[in-house]
Amino acid sequence: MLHLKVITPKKLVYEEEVHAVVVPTVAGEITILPKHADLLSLLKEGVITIKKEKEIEYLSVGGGYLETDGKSVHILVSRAYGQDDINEDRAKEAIESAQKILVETNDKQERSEALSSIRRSTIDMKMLSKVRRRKSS
Amino acid sequence: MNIRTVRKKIKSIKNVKKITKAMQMVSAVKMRKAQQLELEGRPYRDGLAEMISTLSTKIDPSHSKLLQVDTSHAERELLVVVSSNKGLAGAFNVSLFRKILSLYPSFSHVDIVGVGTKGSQFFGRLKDTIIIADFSGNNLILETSALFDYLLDQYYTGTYTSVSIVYNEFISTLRSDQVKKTLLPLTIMDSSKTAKDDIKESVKGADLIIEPSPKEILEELLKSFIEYTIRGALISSEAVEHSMRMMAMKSATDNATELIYEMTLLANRLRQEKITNELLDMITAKESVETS
Repeated sequence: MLHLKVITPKKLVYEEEVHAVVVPTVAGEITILPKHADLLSLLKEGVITIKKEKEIEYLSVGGGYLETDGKSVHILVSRAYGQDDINEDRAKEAIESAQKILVETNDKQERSEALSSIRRSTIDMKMLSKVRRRKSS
Repeated sequence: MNIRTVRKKIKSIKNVKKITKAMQMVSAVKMRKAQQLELEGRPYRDGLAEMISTLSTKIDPSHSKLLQVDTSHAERELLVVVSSNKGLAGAFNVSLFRKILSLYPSFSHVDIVGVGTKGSQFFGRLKDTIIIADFSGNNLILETSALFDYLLDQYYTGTYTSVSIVYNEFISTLRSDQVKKTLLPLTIMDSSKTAKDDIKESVKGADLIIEPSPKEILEELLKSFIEYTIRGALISSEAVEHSMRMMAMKSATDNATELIYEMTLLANRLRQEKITNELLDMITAKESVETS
């Protein structure tokens, strides 16, 4: 068993004993199982998959760091949301409004904000679709 | 004292009491929010510090630009003072300034960066202090990244031996402490270096894999560590500010209640005196008529 902690600057999002966790690092997606070698890695935005005894949970996260010693996993990320925290319609809306901004404005800062908003919402959507696929299968 | 002036005074104290009571309630709500933010942000900051301490034993400083800044010609010190934008917060600002004055007998080698208007005002009035920048937006916590970028740039120029931050640290609603933390150069690296031999023997970190490479991760990690130290300081300071203001307003309200009580007693006594005097007048008038 692995002791998993997911921490954002706002709060401790997740703390539980899990079987395995799949994280997106800058070098590609990796799975961490118990007795993993000591590792410190840079994470990029994406979906974290948490495997427990029976169920599987997903978290949509921002960039951050991962540290493990084979017994516990600490994940520090800029943001993390579970499937219950995300509203699909709102994510869609966010993408649309951000796209509108991209078309209309030339301001550098607004553009980069809109782009990161699209990126975030796309990851959220990806996570939701993963959840759905699991439920239907 | 005249009964009418007493009554007037009671009325005005009642109005003041209403205001302080309202401010107390507003501060209480803000305090709860700020305290929550402070407490929930703690695991992240501790986590970052922990990661750096495991990492620091494994890498050599040449990987990071931050650890390579040449400060041999530097003479000055950079000090960030975190105060508040608004007053009426009890001893919040005063005790902080007192602490700074006791730490620095002279400001001839110190450049000050103000966060919050009260601090900038205070140090602006002092002789031979130099305020080189002021970050006093409406929401101080939102200033973090701007402040961080600014401090980093200043440090890279090599004119400063160290960059420190002084702020009120939140302990509990009733307790706070004025602390000075050194942001740069990074002390966390030095302290772990002395303990390097002990750590080497322990299993943890013995063959740590660092992905993608120490160089890439270290710079990022150190920067976010400093940024979150600053953010933590600002959040902590805000929690203290609201707690202090709430306490100050609470004692002001209590004082007003007490004053109103005493004044009402006085007003009643004056009124009774007036009535007695009037009665006396009437009785003496009547008696003098009857005897004559």
